[in-house]
Amino acid sequence: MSKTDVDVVIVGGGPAGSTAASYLTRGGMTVQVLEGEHFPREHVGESLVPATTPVLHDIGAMDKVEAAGFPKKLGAAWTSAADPNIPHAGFTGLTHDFRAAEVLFSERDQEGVDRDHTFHVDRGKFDKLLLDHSREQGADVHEGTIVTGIDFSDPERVVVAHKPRDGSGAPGQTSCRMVIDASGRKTLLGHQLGFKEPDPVFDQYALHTWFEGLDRLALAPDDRQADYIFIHFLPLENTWVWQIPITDTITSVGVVTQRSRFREAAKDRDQFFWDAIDSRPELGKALRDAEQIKPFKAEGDYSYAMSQICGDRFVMIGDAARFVDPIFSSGVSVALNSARIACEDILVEHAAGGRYDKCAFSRYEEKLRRGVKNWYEFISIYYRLNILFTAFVQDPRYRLDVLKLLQGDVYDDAEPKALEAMREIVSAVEEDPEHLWHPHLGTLRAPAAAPAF
Amino acid sequence: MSTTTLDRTAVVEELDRYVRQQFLDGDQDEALTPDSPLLEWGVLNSMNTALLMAHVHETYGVVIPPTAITAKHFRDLNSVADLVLDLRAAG
Repeated sequence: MSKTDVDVVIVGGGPAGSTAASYLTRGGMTVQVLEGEHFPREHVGESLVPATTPVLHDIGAMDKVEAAGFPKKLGAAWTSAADPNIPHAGFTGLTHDFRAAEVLFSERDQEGVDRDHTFHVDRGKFDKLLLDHSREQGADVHEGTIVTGIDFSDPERVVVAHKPRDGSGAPGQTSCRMVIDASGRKTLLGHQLGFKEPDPVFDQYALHTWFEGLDRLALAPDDRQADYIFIHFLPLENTWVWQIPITDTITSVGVVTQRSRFREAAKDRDQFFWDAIDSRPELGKALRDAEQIKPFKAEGDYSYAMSQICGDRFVMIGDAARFVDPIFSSGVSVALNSARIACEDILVEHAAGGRYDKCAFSRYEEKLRRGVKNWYEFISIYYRLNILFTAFVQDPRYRLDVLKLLQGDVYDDAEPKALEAMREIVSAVEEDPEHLWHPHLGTLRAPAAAPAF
Repeated sequence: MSTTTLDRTAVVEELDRYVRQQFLDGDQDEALTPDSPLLEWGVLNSMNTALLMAHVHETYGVVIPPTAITAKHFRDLNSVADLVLDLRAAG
């Protein structure tokens, strides 16, 4: 085999890329990471799920993450406008009991998870921590370096062309045995090789910012929940709000909706955000009592899939392989776990002196497709169930199965029990106009012949 | 879990107690009766029926399947009691 500069070039130094770099260097391979920005840099996707814990242990980064002072995340809670007080004959129906709409991760044992919490993270800090960690493990990391093209024409190597982002130096190239595309939503190979396909159902759009001094307890009925992630349903179709603690005083708040809704509203970001928030007056009040400390950032075009996630001498991991919707905080977990699973295959191939042909990654492909399919279906059913999801969560027959999904434990079950049960309930409700939940069904619905992503 | 037959009056009383405490803020108003239309009056709605179901499960060991969350079964305390007794008998 011809000599190459390194074994593997990783495009992108976010959580997927840096985790892959750590796995591979710890496994004895030589790795170069090419990251276009200089860290720290801002990034959306600030809440983790417990499935990240085993990966952080694997790469030896857990202690650093614990020591970094990120808010601990013990669980998740949902709030809804529910039904407003309807006065009649002296009754005012009070429906406040969010006890039904929360989960604690520690309620279910998860393999490889040795603690009751995960974290909410300032991604600037978190991503830099992981990238620096990969350097310590031996990866050759170049920030401020963008990849301009990837050449697969030689059957025994890959040549990655790159240049400094700010034009401060000459372009260069690195030869390697294979490439990992961890370029996130830029989806470098997805574009270059034509694999990227927009999702036929989801076309989500998010507007987010940070608030200083938000009274996180204003919306939580229970002090214990102050550092939970909150998902606030809005009485607007397929629209919800995230509330994520970033530090003791800073909270990330984002409105997620369908792109068409944002377009049709024809308002600017500011207006749209506040109008959405004001659909729940208590939310509007709490946010106005706090201080917005960043301009709104918009995220769109993030619902897509790849017709291929691996091939001869390449794999795609993290957002570069797939993203659907932020509702279950799956992004960073998929980044870390896809890196874990892909690197298992890569290290096996390395030990066997192989050529990194597509078949070497078949296990990765199968597991990732399965995990993402489960996430996708969970997300679809969730949007269909809408606020009924909370009733599902508090049903003791399903609670642990749902929790398994929420923990991010999705790669091993071909048919998660919770999904089956949720699907049956959705069908039953859809078919019966007399069902109390019928008017509450959400409208985002995956087609019966779901795409084989 | 006890396998004794449930007493219908006791079930209606317990449901009344729970509904008052949970959804009416402990209101002891005379106006709520076993055939007061709970859904019409907004005392029960599609959301809090889930809470009532959980309570029924905890108290009587009866699982109300989500398919049974229909207007017919939650119309009033009598209907809910009937549902609970039927499910309990079906075992």
